[in-house]
Amino acid sequence: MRPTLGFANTALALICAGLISATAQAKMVELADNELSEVTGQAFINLTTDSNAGIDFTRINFGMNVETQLNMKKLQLGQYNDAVTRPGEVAGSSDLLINNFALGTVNADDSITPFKIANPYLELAYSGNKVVGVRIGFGEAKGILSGDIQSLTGNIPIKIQGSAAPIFDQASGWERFLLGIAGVTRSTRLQADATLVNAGGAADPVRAIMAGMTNGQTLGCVSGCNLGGLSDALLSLFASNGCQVLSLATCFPLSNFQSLPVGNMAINDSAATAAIEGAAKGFFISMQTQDVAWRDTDNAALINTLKGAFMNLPKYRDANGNMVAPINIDFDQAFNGIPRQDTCLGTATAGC
Amino acid sequence: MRRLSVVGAMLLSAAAQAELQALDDQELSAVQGAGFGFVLDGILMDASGAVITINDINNASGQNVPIAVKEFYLGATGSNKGANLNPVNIGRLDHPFEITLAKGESLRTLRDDGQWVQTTPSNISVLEFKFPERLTGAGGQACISGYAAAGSNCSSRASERVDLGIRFDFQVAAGRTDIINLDFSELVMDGSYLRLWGDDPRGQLVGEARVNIFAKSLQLMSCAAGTANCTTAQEQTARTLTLSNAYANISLGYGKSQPLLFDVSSNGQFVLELPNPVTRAANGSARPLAERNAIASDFYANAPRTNIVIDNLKAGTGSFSTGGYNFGYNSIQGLSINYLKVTSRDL
Repeated sequence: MRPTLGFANTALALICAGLISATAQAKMVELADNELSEVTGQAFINLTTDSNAGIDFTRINFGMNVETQLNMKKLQLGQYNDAVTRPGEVAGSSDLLINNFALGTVNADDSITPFKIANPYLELAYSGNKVVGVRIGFGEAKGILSGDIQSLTGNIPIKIQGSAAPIFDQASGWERFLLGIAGVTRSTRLQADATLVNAGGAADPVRAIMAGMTNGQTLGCVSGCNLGGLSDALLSLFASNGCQVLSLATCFPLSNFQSLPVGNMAINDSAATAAIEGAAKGFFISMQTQDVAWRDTDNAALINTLKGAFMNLPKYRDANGNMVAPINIDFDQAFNGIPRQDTCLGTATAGC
Repeated sequence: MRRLSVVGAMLLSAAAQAELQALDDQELSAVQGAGFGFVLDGILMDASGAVITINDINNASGQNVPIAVKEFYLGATGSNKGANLNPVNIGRLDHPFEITLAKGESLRTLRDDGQWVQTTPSNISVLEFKFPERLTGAGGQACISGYAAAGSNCSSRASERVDLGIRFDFQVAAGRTDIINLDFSELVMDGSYLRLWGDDPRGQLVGEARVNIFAKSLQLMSCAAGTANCTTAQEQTARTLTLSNAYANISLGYGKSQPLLFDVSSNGQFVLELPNPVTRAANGSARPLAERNAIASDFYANAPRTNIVIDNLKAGTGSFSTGGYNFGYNSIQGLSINYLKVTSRDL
């Protein structure tokens, strides 16, 4: 019987070798009774419901903290041509198209600054027993989002705030004179809200390729205006029209903004808390067959989304509790764009 | 009715006619590659009469939200959402499912461009479970019939693919039950694998995984057939999301430089991690620039990437004017993860 035993020994050795190698050096340590008594069922998933305007919502919440740094060649949602739902759009365009999309950044020494996410969720919207929408969202998100944005459908508040120096650099002599009359100098701090627009300056949340000031919108004075409230009044005479204030461009291709901060990067995250300090709350991507009002996970307000694919990047609260636009750029960044940060290990910086 | 038959075929049978001899230590140390393959022959699963209830997933108030799992079926394609079930053979002897213990250098992974590469480290023993393989060149058949964009062919022929369905009833609130009814048509998972091995420097179990899912269609119906507003074909179509020519290649881990790490923290939470492949060796030592660049170059060239593609996604009829919607083409392509750490916590 030796041959049979030999084969059995061989097989047993192989199985044991596999099991030993697969289990490595993990060491089992028994729990004391008092430790064991503290063990309870872990609940990292729950379901919550909501209703509004005849739509029922069911949200599956995942208790997770995620740190990541990733790249993708292409993120594309809603590429279809339909003259009824998407009138006037370019044939072959998409509701959302971002090439070389990335979350998080890579530092010079190839260490990683991750994009942080807490409490992701999946939510369905029902009209009766018919699904009319689905969204994937992050309870909290903080980090750098990069990409070559080709088209975007959604809600992305942008605050442009900073020194007026870049505006003076762009302005003609006459326009500098007018700004001077308004009490604006190079050191004056101005601000403007920007959003998704078309090339004519009209708000355009569907398949937008530009962000900027909408028609009728004016620059506001933050500080350093020599005429005080009168400066604001004078600035209000220079409303943006057709993507221009005077001859200054006020709309910019989305593809210029290649790395965008999500959340307040100036606030350090504390490792001692599950929450992400300075995070933008309520980031989501949704798809719906009709306009749907989804619940804002920060302030419980309703966010109206348009039919089709939709990306929502809401305002977040700063350290003082004020609502702040998730994308904060200065005038220099608005005029010249935001360069891409390194999102690749090794020699590449993008497209890896 | 439930019929299930599984036929195992020992690949070791190639040595069937040799007299069995004991191996000495030296011979044993040279052994690599040992395992077995099997096919699922004449399989049909029909659990239409069974209900499994999942409890203890709670709502925000801590109340139980029961989830009833029902109407599961698996059978040959052409089942008309499980109404006409027939047995199916999954895998065949020259392209079976396999469970193998092999050296890392003997395993190969198919890149998106159709090249076979080694992704596991050399000189380690890897336990692998894998589905029937994908094929390069003229062999095999398109993983999604009539849709070549899904990449390299599958070894499973059209007759070796399955229809699969399952229904979930979420009793989310008093008087309100959400239904999700899934029906896959022509489902095949060729090229999927799970590889596990022990990582000595890290002192833990590590691995790499790829999950390929190809389906000619996936339908999600949000009502229970036969109930109110869900009786006629038109009513059911209006409450159905249809994914056509859909596939996913989910890739986690690149054994050579970024193995997938599993762990459980002392308070019972799971931790899943894909470490940065370049900054530090597994023993914690820093790497010089040239070495980092070389590892990154290899990582981007050979590490499997994740793709999720839906050639067409529509709600209802797909026509907005009749209450449907056509979301068209949707994709995530070429996803590469440099770093990932997922930690669960109680809600």
